[in-house]
Amino acid sequence: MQTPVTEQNDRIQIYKPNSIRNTGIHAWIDMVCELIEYRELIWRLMVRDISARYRQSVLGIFWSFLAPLFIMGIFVMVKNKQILPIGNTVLPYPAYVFIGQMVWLLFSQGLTSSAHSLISSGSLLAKINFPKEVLIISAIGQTVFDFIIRIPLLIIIFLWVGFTPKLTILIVPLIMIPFLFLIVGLGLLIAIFNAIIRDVGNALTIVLTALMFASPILYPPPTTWPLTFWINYINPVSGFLLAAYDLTAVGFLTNSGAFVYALISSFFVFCVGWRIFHLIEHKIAERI
Amino acid sequence: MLYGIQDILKNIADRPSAAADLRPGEFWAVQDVSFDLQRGEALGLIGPNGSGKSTLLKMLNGILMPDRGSIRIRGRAGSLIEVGAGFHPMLTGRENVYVNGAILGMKKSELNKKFDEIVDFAGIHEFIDTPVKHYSSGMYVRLGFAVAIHCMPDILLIDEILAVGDEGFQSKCFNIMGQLRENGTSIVLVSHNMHTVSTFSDRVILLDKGKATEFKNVADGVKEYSKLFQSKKGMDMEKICSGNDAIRFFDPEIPRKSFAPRESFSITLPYESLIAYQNVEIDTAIFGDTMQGLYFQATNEAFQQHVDLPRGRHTLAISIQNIPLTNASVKVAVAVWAEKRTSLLFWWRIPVEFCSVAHATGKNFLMVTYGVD
Repeated sequence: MQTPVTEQNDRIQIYKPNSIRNTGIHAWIDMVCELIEYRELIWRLMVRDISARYRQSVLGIFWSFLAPLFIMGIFVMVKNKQILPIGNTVLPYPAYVFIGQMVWLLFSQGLTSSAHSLISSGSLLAKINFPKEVLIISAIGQTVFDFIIRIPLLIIIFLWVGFTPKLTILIVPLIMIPFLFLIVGLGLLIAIFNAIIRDVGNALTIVLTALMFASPILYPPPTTWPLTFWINYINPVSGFLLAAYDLTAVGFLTNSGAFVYALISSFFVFCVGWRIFHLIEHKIAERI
Repeated sequence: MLYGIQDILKNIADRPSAAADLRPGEFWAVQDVSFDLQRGEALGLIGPNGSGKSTLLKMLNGILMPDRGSIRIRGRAGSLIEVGAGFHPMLTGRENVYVNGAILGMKKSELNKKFDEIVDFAGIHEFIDTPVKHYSSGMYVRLGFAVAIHCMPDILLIDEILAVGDEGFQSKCFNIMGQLRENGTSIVLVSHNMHTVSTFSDRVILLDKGKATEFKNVADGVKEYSKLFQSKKGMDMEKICSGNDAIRFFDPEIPRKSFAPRESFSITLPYESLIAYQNVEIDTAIFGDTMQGLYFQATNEAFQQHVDLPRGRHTLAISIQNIPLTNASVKVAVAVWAEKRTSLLFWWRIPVEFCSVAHATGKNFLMVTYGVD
C-alpha cells in the first residue's frame, strides 16, 4: 500500500556560494522552466493588483483613459493654436498622438512600475523564496492590461476624426510582442539596480520625460535636422512607434530599417537584462 | 551599499565572491553551523535575540545564499515566517487565499480543492468575503497560517509565529504539525517558548552569536539557553556576615551544590561562641539568580522549632528537605539572628544548581502518579 510520503517532491536543491554559473544553454533552459512553473503566480499577482487598484473608487477603470486623453487634448490644442510648429503627420493628429501615447505609456509605465515592484514587495522578498522575475512581469502585465483597455477609446477617436485605418492595423498587436521583450528586459535591469541603488528609480523619471520628447509621439518623425534624426532613431522605441503608425495609416512599413534595428535591439536587451537579473537576484534579499 | 555593488559586479563577471571573508564592518551572522535533519524529525532552534536563528531559516529557505559551505535540501521547503504573504488589504479573504497560495507555490486546482478546509481551519466563514483590511490581527494570522499549513511542504520552517493566536488556535496548529510529522514532513521550529520547544522537538540547536551547539537531549539545551540569560556575577558565593564579636562561624560544610529535584540541601556550620544564644532565628531562603523569583523563604518559627546555640565550640546543622526545583540555578540564603533579631550572626548566599529532568519544564518539580482502572 502506498504511504503518503511517496507523493512528496524528491527534487534536490543545493545552495552554495557562487553556485550560479554564467554560461551555457542549460542556464537559459532552467530560467525559462522556472518561469513557466510560476506562471500561475504571475497571473494571480496581476489579477490582484488590477482588482485592488480601482476598488473603493468611483471612476475605477476610467482613470486609465484619462492620462493619454489629457495629453492628446493639450497637444491638439497646442497644434491648432499654432503655439508650437508641428508638421503634418501621416494620421490625423489626434489619432497620431493617441496611438503614440498608448505605445509610449506601455513603455514608460511598464518601466516605472517595474522599478518599484521589487521595493514595494520588500517584506515578501525577505520571507518567501520565489523567482523575482515574477514581480516585474506581473507589473508589466498590468500596463499591458491598460494598453488593451485603451483600444476601445482609440476606436472612438478614429470615429470622431473620421479616419478609417488600414486593415494592417490588426498586425500592430503582433508588433507589440517584441516591444514587450524590450520592456521586460529593461524593466528587469531597472528593477534590480533600483533595489540596490535607489537613484536609478529617481533618474528614470527624468530620463523618461526626456525620451518622450525624443520620440516621434507628438511630432512627425524628423527627416531633416541631423541631430534630432539620430536621437530619434537610436531610441528603439521609435522603431516600434513608426511601425505602429505605418501599419495603421499606410499599410506597409515605410522605414523598415528602423524597425529591424528595434527588433534586434529589443531581443538583445531582453537577453542581457534577464541574464543579469537572474545572476543577481539571489543577492537581493540581503541588499534591498 | 558599496559591498553590495562589488558583490554584484563580481557575480555578473562570474568571479568568485569576496564575501567569503569578512570585510570591515561585517560580522558572521551564522558561523560553522552543521546539522542533518531526517524525514519526520523536528528540530528546535533556540537562542537569544540576534543570535542568527532567522538568518539560518532564511538560508534554509533559499532566500539568502551561504557565503561559505553548502546546504542540501530534498523536497520543497515551506515557511511560516511571513504569515499572510502577498495579502493585499483591499482584497477579500477569498481572493487573498488564492494570492497567498500562489506565492507559496500551490496551484489553483489544489487551492480549489482545499479552500473549504482552509477556511474551516482559520474559522472565518462569515468574513471570508470582506476585505482583509477589516480583519482583526488574530483573523489575519489565522488565515495566513491556514493557507501556509495546507501547502504541505516537505520541510516546514516555523519562525516564532506560534506566539500569536489564542490557545484554541495554537492547539489546532500543534495538531496539524503533528500530523504533518507523521506524514514525513521535517520541521524546524524557532521559538522563545521553551515549553513548545521541549515538547515538540526531537533535538535542539542552541545558537549564540552565530555559533551553534547541538543537543540530543532537549532539556539540556533548554537549560543552557536559560544560562545565557544569567549574569555571571550573580552566581558567586556571597559571604555577607560570618559572625560578630561574640561568635565566629567557620567555613561551613556544604556537601553538594548540584542536586536532582526533590533532594535535600544541607549545610553544617561549625562555630565558636563566647556566650550562649537562646532562641535564635534562622532564615532560610531560595532565590532565583539576581535575587529575583523567590522560591521559598521561612524562619525556624514556621516549623515551630526552637534552636539554641550553646556556648563554646559546636556545629549548627541546617537541612532543607525535598526541594522540588528543577532546571534552575538558584541561591540558598542562610541567615542566623540572635533572639528577636537584635544582632546578625551569620548570613551567606550559596549558589546551587538543580539539574533538569527530561520532559519536564518549568522551575518546580512535583510528583505525579497515574492509575488506570
